[in-house]
Amino acid sequence: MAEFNAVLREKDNINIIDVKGFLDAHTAPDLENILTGLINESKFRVVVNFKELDYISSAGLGVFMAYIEQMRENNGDIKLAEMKTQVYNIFDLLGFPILYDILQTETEALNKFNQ
Amino acid sequence: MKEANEISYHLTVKSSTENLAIVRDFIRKAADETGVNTEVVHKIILAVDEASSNIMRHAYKNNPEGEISYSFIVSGSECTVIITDQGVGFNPAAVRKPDLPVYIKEGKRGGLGMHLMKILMDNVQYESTESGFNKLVLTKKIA
Repeated sequence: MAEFNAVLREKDNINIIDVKGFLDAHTAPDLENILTGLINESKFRVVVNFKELDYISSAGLGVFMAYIEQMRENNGDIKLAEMKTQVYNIFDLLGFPILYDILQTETEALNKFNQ
Repeated sequence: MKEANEISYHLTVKSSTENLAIVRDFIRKAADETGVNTEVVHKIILAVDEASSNIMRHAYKNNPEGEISYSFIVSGSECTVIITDQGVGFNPAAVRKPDLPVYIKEGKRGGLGMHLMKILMDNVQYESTESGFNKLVLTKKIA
């Protein structure tokens, strides 16, 4: 069984999701549920902290593709932070860095919302 | 004719997404035992995960009771993974190259897998046979 978990916390009105383990077609719905939950509560400012994420497949990337427009239309965004190289490389292969804010640290990602 | 130095490993799983982890472990162990370098192993694992996720979703329409079989073969300087299923076939020529800005606007969550497989592997060949089997052959140079 793929190990994955996603924990939600809040800092300065920004919602931070800590993702851990393996994000694939089996586990992507867990993350999707958190994002749809935030949208339902009109919380559109999100930072995803990838520090403990070891693996991502396109099913995981798809979750970010599916919801970012809704967040942006509501003056929010999904900013991505603290990716391991092997995870960043997959985002990079598919051209995500041009369209998404991908930051080194969580603090930088949070600060981006205030720029 | 098999080459004398050919090594192969086989696995069959049900088409449930929870088996993706088993498939990844299978590839990792087989690749480790045959001495494929880590960076290449990661690419093969992801390509096989993408192929498997597509079969589960599209060929078997999320029915977890289908079967997917894997052969991992190292022969000379090449690694080949053959994946077969008995689900609904597809036309690979009809798969569009992903357009990320459009996908984001549309809120699309899929459509990246086949493209990713092609980037990660040296060769991707798909065949849907009349006997009802679909066969995907992924090849990667390992030396």
